[in-house]
Amino acid sequence: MKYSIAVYGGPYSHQATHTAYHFAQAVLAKGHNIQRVFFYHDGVYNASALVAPPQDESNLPKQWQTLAQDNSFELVVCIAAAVRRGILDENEAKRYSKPAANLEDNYQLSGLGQLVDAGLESDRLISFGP
Amino acid sequence: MSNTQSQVESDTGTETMSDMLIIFRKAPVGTSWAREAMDLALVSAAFGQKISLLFMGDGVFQLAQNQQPSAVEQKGTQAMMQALPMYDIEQIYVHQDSLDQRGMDSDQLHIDCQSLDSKALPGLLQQHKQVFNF
Amino acid sequence: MILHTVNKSVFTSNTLNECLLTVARNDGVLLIEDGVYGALKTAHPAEQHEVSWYVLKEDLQARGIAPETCREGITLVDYTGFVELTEQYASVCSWF
Repeated sequence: MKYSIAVYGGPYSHQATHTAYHFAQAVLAKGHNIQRVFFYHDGVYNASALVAPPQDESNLPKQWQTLAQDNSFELVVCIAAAVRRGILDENEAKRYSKPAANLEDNYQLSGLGQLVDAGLESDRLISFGP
Repeated sequence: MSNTQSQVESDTGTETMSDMLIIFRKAPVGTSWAREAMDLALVSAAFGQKISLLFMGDGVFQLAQNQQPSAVEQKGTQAMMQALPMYDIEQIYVHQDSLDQRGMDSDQLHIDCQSLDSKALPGLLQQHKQVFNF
Repeated sequence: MILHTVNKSVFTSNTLNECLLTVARNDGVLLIEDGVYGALKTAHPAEQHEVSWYVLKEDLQARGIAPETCREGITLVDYTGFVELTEQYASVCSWF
């Protein structure tokens, strides 16, 4: 089956993205595909390239990035939620005259329509919130 | 106008499922959930989805009249709610017990809603292919 | 048939009880994260419905909750079991 996952919680503050990640791993281990992981609300913080956890703690942005690359699924971040929270790609950083961009590689900013689309195209859409 | 329903009527018969139900359970203003949920409702409708909305728990506070979120420099969802008919979002439900527990009158809400009693809630969820909950 | 996930403690939050207002017979309720406290014998969710109860094993373990302290009739599942539940049920509704 084709799965999509919505993540509404950021790394560290809440377990949501951790649960979502373990769930995603189990989905893939069972032989299913993941179409898209969509980050909304504080979930956009998972897309930060500046996350610097201690060595003995998880790095969810990197973990999602690796899992997505290895299993060919998309990491999509709601652009409206992201820019409000200071997660910007090069285009948005330029648009808002910000000193830097900080969107981690392989994540893309896009519209909320991608979440709707995931619900329509995937067999299952599961959300994880804070 | 506010007859409390125990069963949700679907317009084309019991076999038809609507596309999406969005449940609003959080109070307005204190967090961004009300706005983010309403954004999803409008985007989904713009995608041609048939959307229903359910306000329950503290979510019924989103329907209160005379909200002035600008008093705390917040944007509310009042304008978005008034735009719902333009997006063909007409199936708007409110949980009567949630209103009663909070002393709210179903005749004095910011937008027209169909009041549902608790018995109707399971059926409402079962009638939708996807349920989002905020 | 809907699988509901609940991640808030029933001792501090109304989330589980609000979820239970909406469950139909043959739905499932999976307790995850802080929601696993709702599996304790000392937790008394508002109404016992004819639903199937599940709790995520890893979250019980993380919190030091022994399976014997959980209510009768709650099935422990791991993440693989969680995926299997999502295969069985037609859709998932998350309560947080």
